[in-house]
Amino acid sequence: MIQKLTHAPLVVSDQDEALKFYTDILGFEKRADYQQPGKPRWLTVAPKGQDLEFILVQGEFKIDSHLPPEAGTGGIHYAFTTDDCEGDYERLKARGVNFNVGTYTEPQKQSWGTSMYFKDPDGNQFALIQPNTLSKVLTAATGPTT
Amino acid sequence: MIGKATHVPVVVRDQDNALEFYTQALGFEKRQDYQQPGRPRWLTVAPRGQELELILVKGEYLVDPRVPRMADSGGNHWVFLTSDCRKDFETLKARGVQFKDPEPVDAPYGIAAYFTDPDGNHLSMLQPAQKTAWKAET
Repeated sequence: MIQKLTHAPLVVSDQDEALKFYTDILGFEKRADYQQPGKPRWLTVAPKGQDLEFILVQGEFKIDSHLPPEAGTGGIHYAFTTDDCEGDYERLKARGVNFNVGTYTEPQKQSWGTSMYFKDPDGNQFALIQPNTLSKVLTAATGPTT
Repeated sequence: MIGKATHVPVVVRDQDNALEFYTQALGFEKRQDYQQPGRPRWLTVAPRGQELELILVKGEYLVDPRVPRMADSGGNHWVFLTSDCRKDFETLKARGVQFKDPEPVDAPYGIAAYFTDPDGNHLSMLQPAQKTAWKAET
């Protein structure tokens, strides 16, 4: 039976540049970095403590979601949890991260918590979500845990 | 601090078609399906028991980073853990899933099978050789 996702791809134009961004700026760990003859370089990173790894794949991409800027990412994003959205915003801003995603430029208060959006140097889009206490309780009551 | 990833996107042209593939062919569960006015349809699926969700996002590649369907993925793929690669291969094949090779591949790191979704996204399932090591990690 298919049990779980262990690797998800992130397409980047320069693997070394991307590695710097994901480790130095976002604080992820490098998990694997090797190259077999005739194969692309297998480079993965992951948030500390998470099983799932992101494969930093060399390539170019452009996606049209056919949506206006008000739609934000149009759903095309990788979402992460955080325990301090405002604090992360300040830290990542100081490191030069691009927060212009759709019409968003800074953290947004929502009924369920605080969220913000940012981009990596290649335009991959991310959401950082800090659920409020109620959402956490609901997740604990209804959602599966890893 | 940035914690764990909870959602990763998979870009698809037709969300209904993709939903059918991920739920009926792969056996994932549908987790969320709603649409707010002026927003795209938020449709997510996940392997049973995993918190992480795949967002089936409607979109179109203008510059496509993916290699053709039957080529190697070039690393650009989603990897799933399986407890029985050969059995899943037979099950999925019977459901019409398109595999790259006629049989699962024996590699030093385990038994792997490479396939694509209806949009040409490359997927694979791996039954690791050192299964206990993987279990310990979770």
